[in-house]
Amino acid sequence: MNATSTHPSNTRADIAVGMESSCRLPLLVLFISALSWLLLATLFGLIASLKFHMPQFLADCPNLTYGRVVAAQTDCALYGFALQAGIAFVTWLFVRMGRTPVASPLVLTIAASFYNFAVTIGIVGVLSGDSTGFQGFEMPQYAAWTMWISFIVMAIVAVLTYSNRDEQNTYPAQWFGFSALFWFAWICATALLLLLFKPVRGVVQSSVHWWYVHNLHSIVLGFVGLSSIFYFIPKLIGRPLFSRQLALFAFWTLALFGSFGGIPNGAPLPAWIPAMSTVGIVMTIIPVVAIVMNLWNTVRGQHQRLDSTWPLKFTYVGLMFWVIASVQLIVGAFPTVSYLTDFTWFTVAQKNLWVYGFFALTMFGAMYHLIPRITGLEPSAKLVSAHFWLTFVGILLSYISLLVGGIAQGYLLNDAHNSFLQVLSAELVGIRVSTLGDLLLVLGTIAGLLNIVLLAVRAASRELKIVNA
Amino acid sequence: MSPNETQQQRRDTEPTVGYSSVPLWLIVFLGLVFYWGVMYVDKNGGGFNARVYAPYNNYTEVDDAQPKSGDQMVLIKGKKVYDATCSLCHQPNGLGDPSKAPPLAGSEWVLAPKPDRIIRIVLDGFQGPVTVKGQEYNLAMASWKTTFKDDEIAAVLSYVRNNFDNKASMVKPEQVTEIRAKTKDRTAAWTSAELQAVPDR
Amino acid sequence: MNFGPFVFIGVFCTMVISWLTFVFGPQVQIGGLQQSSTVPNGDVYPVYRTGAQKHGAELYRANNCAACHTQQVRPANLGPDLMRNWGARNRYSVAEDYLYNYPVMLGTQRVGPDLANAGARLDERTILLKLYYPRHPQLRAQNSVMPPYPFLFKKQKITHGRSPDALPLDNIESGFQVVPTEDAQDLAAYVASLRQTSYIFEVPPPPAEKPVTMHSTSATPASNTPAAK
Repeated sequence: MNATSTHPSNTRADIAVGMESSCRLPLLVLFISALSWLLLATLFGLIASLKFHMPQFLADCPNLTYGRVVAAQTDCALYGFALQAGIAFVTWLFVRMGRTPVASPLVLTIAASFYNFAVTIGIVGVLSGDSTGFQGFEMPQYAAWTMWISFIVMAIVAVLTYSNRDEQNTYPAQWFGFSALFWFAWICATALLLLLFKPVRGVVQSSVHWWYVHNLHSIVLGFVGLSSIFYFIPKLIGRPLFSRQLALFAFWTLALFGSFGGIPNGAPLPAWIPAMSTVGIVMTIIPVVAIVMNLWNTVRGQHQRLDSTWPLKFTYVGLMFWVIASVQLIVGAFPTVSYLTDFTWFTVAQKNLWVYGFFALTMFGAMYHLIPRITGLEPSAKLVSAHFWLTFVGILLSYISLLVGGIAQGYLLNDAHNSFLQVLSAELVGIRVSTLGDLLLVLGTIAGLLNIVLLAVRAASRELKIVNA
Repeated sequence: MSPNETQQQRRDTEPTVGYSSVPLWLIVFLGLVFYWGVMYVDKNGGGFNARVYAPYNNYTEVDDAQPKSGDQMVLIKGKKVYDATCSLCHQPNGLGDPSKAPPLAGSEWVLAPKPDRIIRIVLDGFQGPVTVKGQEYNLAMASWKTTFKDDEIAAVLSYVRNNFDNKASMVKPEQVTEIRAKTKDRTAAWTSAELQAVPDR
Repeated sequence: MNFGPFVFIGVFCTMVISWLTFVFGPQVQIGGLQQSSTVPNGDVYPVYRTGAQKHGAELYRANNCAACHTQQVRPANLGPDLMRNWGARNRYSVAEDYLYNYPVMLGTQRVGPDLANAGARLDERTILLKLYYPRHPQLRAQNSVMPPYPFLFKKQKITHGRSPDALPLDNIESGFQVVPTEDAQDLAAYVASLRQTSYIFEVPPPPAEKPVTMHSTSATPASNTPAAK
């Protein structure tokens, strides 16, 4: 059957690179901003973690109490880092696969600037006490609306780029990327309207809020990460993706079942709502199996090549974290398990692995592939290595310690003979070990940010040389 | 360690796709998980009712769990007794059977202001001809004074007086105790003539 | 063939399903909830919060107390909450309990105990002490990791005799006292108002054969010791 056409001539490839360099400025802005926000997020995470060693650490300053720091961390990671990196990658993907320049680099850059401005005032607002009270959506209205509108503008640029593509047949990576943009626009609009602008009554807020956060993680971030995985693994290994039909099947089942979820069992909502949520989450086992099968068969026999370059390494490790985090979510949805694990560090561990493990690593893999392509410059291999290992070990340490702490917390809480403080002592061990993981994440992010900034500086000075020459 | 990609590597062709079909076992697995899902929602979904929260399974359960007033509890108890014992002759609908028992629905004996006569009937039984709602009956009813306690007799009589479209006062256990004491030496079943001497209003 | 529009429509329809289930459905069913009457007394429930409590809720939100504290009690088959006496009168949480809250801060993490019935367990003085000095000996929580909130309090010289609001602290210099600001008092008033003790239709009282454990307000504050055996 027809495969996507190859590039026989160098001229075509050079034209392709030329097209991609059209988005050089906006993508550098987006990625550098994203990495900066990630650094800030990991720093906030470290501060929050340190407070478990010394609760009075920075407690005198109202802007840095634990609650506000954690809120700021979440929003920096989700809105500062994740969505910017996501839109940068998806835009580049549409440029690359569509062999068309980005629809408007200028509009994209301006929108990205507004986006960063919005997130900045949002985080300042959160630290000042203007938090909305909805975890994962704490930025106050004045910031959140601006952020959403900037995102819409960036998404429109991406969609226009997509519709300019020269190849009508689409590849799974494009379906995932496109859907993620649309999805975020909708869920965020719903959350803005029904939680902030004209709030619904009572626990309907909780249902909307939980639905929003779950879809933001599982679908928006999930689809962007999967887009990167589906694109890079077959491409960089040099093998065709095993099955388009299987990818299509996984896409629709994940879209349908993955969007159901987020409501804890036992929530103060009529029984059918948590029940539907649990069923949806459990049914995502199907797309997980389909995707694993698809990619496993793609790389079968060529596993060693997954370690051959950094982008591949970041990507396949990200994929493994996706599988682990997805399976953990599924296991935690069953009532017998959620009896113990809900409201413990178990759920925090899963979310952290999702954002800092799966999503971040897949985005870094994409970044280390596309930034040299669009700039023509090489990042420092040593810093990439440091970035990978520090992030990998850091997230693994943080994840495992919080997971174990959370499970211990759940088991001990189950026995009424254990006072709450005894339970706290047990889980504190896990939390304190995770501080080391948080520190490694900070260092890894510094390595990544430094690398890209230095590269951007070189690119900028090269531009100046060309201008002056 | 792993190097960066070369520019040549980055010019690699775009990913291509193969066209293997979705394996049948995965579809079957989807079907099985979907079936599980349907069963789960059926069991734990509370019938999609807005007023049903875990651990209740449906609206009826929540409704039944509501605390009842004293009178409601008595009527529930009385119904239990009636369904197990009296309905066999007087029928579940209280309309009686010409060969077994006269009707209770609309019966002037049941609806009398004071329950003194019907308490005696339940305690010691009934025999001989009697007119109920203009119809003649000549049947026999057993004595229940040793089978049921005072509160049970009061409950079933309250139930009979407030069911089958009947509306009359509840019967209190003390009323039954009083009459049981008065008639404790009696061994024969009541007749219509004897009961006419007992005031019922 | 250009699948783009089909992908879009398909994604749209798929999203609508989850939107209908978790946004539209709940809004239709319980978005218009009104106050209900308690069972069996027929009192109105829930009641609006007063000014100080409302302001306290704002402070709870601003400081993101929900980062460590939940405010939802799960039924016995779904969590050990009732076993740990977090539900006063053995009652778990339902929608009515949050009818007038904005935002509804159910929380997702229990670094600290659940607060849905904090008002049934704690009094305002205990809460104020906990906010200033969570590891105070009186609170019997020496290894608590709750952060202190000193900025909600004022340390002042004792001028006209010791204030009745002053916190019972041993380790401040003589001649000084620590008093709560109005913010602290409002936050304490809010937490002390958290109570889900009324039975309503959706959560009727347990049957009379099983005695209901009444939770007295003199219960040990903040340390959440297990139920007496």
